[in-house]
Amino acid sequence: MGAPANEPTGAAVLKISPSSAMNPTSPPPAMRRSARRLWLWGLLATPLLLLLLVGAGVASFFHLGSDARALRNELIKSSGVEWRQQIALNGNWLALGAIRAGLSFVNLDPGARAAIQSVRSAGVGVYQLASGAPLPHRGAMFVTADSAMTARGWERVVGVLDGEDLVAIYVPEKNISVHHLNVACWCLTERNWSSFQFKAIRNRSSNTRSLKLTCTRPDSGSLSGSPPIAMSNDIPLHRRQTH
Amino acid sequence: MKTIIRYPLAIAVLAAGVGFNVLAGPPPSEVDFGKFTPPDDGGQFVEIQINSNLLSLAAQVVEKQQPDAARLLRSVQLVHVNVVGLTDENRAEMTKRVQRIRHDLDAQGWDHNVAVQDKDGQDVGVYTKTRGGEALAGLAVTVIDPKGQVVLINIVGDIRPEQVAVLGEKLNIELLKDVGAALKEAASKDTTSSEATPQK
Repeated sequence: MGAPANEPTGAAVLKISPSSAMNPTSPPPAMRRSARRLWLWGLLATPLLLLLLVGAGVASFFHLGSDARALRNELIKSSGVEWRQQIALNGNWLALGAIRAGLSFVNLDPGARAAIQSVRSAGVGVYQLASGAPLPHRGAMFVTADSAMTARGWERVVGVLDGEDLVAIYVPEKNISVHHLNVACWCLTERNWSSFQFKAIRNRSSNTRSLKLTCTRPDSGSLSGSPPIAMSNDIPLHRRQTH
Repeated sequence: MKTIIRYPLAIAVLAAGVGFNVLAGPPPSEVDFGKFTPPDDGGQFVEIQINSNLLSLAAQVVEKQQPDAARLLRSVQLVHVNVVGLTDENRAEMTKRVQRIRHDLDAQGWDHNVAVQDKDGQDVGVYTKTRGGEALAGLAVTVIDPKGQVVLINIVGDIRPEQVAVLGEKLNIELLKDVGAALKEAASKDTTSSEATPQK
């Protein structure tokens, strides 16, 4: 029995079946169909989920944070008069990140740019007294705001009542750090009140070390009108004479 | 056996320490001015309360550029300022209240450093509390301006009256700057008059 003429003598011969190498065992047709269906559902669900996420993000932009909501509810209740909401905006890190990215192409004052870069979340609510409603009891509103904020772990650092203007600034009782600053403020002027809350981080890249919180009378026309109070990092508290 | 005794003993000492700390309450140089209710008739009302958390935050921020200011901010544990505008309704009550605060400060062993009463009726009192003879533990300032307002200031920490203006500048509290400048002026007048007075 000799070896075939075309095979080298003494060499190992590996015989591979051509059918097993080229055509792996294929799954049954039912499994293939369910996998395809899963892919189809996935493809359909992804844009829907993205749409839902975007919708939730946009909705949250008009939904105040829990502290601001609690303050608003208590103030409205204690004032005993009707208020009309003018603005309620809540910028989270995503929205502010988009704003920061957009503003990076705009020529801005370095101070303003530093402030925008420092802020990680911000909420603002503006309310106006309904026409014909009497002026609310400011002292009572002040006391109510204090108790609402204290119950939520905030403490008032500044409270100013001067004529028709009222300003109160709160910081958290605990966990205050130069790297994570959390400030809440509400101002009441003649027939309007506004609440602000922001979280900021210290911006190391900027030369400016200040973060100013400014409240203005709505009738002053511009932000640089007559700020009764400013708060900054290097100069935490400042009361300017307005009269 | 020793371990069995040592651990409960350590826990008891720790618990006692925590207990005493809780019982210790506010520092002795913290003055309780009482609660002021903001007036509703447009009268002035200012309340500023900066505790050690915020002061240390401010110190951290200025540390590199202004180490002296940071040291000053760290030496203070509390800055409390109250300004209440005087009206016909609250004048008598507020004046009585400030007199009571001054009486309490005297009774609690505070040193009455400055007492000024000018012909316009403005009445200023500056009190300090020392700790261990040398260092200051606190400062209290009471001002009654019958035409305008009552001002109450309490600073807890090792701060001299001459440093109040610097603290006011660093915290940017106009009122502290003004009071500090007045205190500095009073101190310099005091020094000049004592230098001018011949030694007997």
